[in-house]
Amino acid sequence: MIEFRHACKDYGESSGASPSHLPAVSDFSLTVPSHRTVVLVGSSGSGKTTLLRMVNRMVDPTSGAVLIDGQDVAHTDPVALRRSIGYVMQQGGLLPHRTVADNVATVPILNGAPRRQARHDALGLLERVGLDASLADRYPAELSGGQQQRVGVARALAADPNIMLMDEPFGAVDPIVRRELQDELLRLQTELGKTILFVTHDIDEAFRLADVVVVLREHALIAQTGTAAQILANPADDFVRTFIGSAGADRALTTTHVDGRTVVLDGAGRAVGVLAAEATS
Amino acid sequence: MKWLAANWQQLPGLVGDHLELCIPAILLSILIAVPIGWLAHRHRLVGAPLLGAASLLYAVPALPLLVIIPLIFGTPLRSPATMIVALTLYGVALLVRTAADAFAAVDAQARQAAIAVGYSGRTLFWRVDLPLATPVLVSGTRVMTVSTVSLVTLGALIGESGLGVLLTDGFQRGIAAEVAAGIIATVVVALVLDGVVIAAGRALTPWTWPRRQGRGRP
Ligand SMILES: Nc1ncnc2c1ncn2[C@@H]1O[C@H](COP(=O)(O)OP(=O)(O)OP(=O)(O)O)[C@@H](O)[C@H]1O
Ligand SMILES: [Mg+2]
Repeated sequence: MIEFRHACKDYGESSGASPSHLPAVSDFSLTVPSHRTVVLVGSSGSGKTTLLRMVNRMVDPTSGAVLIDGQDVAHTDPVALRRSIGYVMQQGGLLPHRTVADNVATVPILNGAPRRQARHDALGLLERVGLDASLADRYPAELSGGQQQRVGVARALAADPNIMLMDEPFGAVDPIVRRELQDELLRLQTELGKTILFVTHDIDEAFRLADVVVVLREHALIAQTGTAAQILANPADDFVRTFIGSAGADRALTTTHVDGRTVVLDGAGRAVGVLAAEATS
Repeated sequence: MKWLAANWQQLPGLVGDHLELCIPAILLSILIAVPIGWLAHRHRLVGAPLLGAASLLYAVPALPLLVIIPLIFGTPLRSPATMIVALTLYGVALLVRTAADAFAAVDAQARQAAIAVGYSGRTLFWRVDLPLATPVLVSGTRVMTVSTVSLVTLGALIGESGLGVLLTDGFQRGIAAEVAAGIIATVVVALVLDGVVIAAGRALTPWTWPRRQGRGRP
């Protein structure tokens, strides 16, 4: 379980703000329950990365606290903390000078695992995230963007962490690959049940992956927290409505009856499916 | 050419003496300049004056330097040690700024990612900063190597054996062929050592060059 308690982060004058400036994160409180996926969604600069980095102490809050299983992370050793948390960043964040297998084995080796064992385990992890073991000796630059992201996920899983932090991990790949990666993550999550804090600016991705969606405005102010269904059914205000906006048009579904079946149409009148109860009857 | 026919047997010995002076100087320069460059990059306040001082050092003329070094380091006036210290000072002066640039050129995203997965302190330096800085360090080392090889010829002025002997002797006795042989041999030694640095650089940075087709591919 991760808890944010009135967390604030002010980067100071260097952020080039006006005199009446608000901090990057201003009074953020949230509980991420164990074994659940919570997705932070908000536009660029709303403080998502800052929030994520507070969890593994890449950023220390100016005030307030972040707790993991009730323990304030400020009292933990940052290096040990980071090695115990999986972190996936945009573009994979792989080390360009290490092979795929060495990248995946990074944390176990830092933790003192024997090299051979760590490399052997890495091959298993590659398979786990849907990559062929023959890629193990390539360098990251020799992989496609989607493959790099999978390696990033494998590396985050290598130390078998309870917590995974994912910062727009699928932001840089095309929509089809992104969809595959999302499916892969959903599958892994049903198997592994990690506590995942996931950041994206893609509301569709948030709705697909999240148990709980947190919509953020500037300065990491929470606009709305809820399940995808709750947010779609009841946007808290105009900000949330605008945010799910373009998606909103597509999501305003209608139904029509054809040959005794109920066909679902999207905002543009295209058939997108059949109502399940009838589809199976 | 007559000179060469009569004296070619001197060459291997002179090349050997030349290498004995420049190889220790090149290695010492790397060992000293890289940590200073790293320090200069990590700590700007210490770094700026350090880099400035190093660059100034390069402007000190060679002959006075060769006289001052024995006073400061206690080496004998005419000795290989004095020469190696002088060459190392010039080498460091030439390499520190590139070394600082090399660390500045390390991909910030990769470095952040390394910190995020738990690299720190020494492991961060040895396993992330240093390897990622190596390509730029290698280009700086190439320049420094060639410069050192040519500076060694100055050793002849204080009686240190090396290919410079051919230059001083050739000038004094007016033997153009001897001077030419000295210049050409120096250039060849420089090119060979440059080749060694390139090869070492490639061996240290396998991720930067395209591999044989098909390696590791299904
Ligand atoms: N190291 C830093 N120093 C100064 N200001 C920073 C720093 N990191 C972030 N900021 C500022 O804090 C605010 C929030 O940044 P953050 O990176 O958390 O946003 P984000 O939601 O992750 O954005 P994006 O979607 O573009 O990644 C921004 O205004 C940014 O300029
Ligand atoms: Mg971000």
